[in-house]
Amino acid sequence: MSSPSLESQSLLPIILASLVSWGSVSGLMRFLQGAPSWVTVSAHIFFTASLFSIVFTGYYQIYKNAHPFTTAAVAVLAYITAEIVFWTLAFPDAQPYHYTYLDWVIPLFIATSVIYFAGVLFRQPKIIGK
Amino acid sequence: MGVAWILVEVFVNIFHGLSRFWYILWHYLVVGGAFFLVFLCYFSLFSFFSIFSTMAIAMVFLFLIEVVVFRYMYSGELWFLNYLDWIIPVFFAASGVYAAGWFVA
Repeated sequence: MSSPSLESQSLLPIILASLVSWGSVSGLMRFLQGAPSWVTVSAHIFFTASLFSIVFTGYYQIYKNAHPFTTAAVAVLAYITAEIVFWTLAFPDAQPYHYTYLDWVIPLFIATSVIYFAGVLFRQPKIIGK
Repeated sequence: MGVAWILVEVFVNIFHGLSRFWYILWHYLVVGGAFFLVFLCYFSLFSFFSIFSTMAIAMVFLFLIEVVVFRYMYSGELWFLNYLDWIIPVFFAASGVYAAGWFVA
């Protein structure tokens, strides 16, 4: 089992991939503002799972030795930083979703899971036993 | 948050010899239970922040404690930095805090 290591990985591509995914989800969610909460919550989960899996599958195709845990940790830190900078500090009235368990905690957990498992499934070499 | 984290670390240190299945199962139960009970006390006594803000602040401090302890004070193998042993427990910790807030509200 390989240990996570930051030394062997460049942070910038992870941060960029995370911001592209997060920005795409946020942009799509802006179109659904005013929709019933069951629509926005479902759409947020669906967009998060879809876009993060597409972007990070592409990332692992390029960076074949990236470690899934390190990648997920850095990507989530970039995600949370973007949330704080955009929807708390810069544009607090424009946040495209509510800060609740269903509307934020679950999508973040799904994003983390998708990033991790994209790495487990699509990186080279495979990590055995994870 | 520190109290809940210490309770979980005590569990990890005592019960790491369990079989993999039972260790993971008990780890999840202890993490969810410890964070729920500690924050049940917190929400019963204090109301400084909303449930979401309390959960977010608790998670930030959880990450800070983990980074400081496992980066600067721990010299063993970082075998637990994987999905089953770290990412899911953090999700249960956040859910435990949130559930405690809901329960008290």
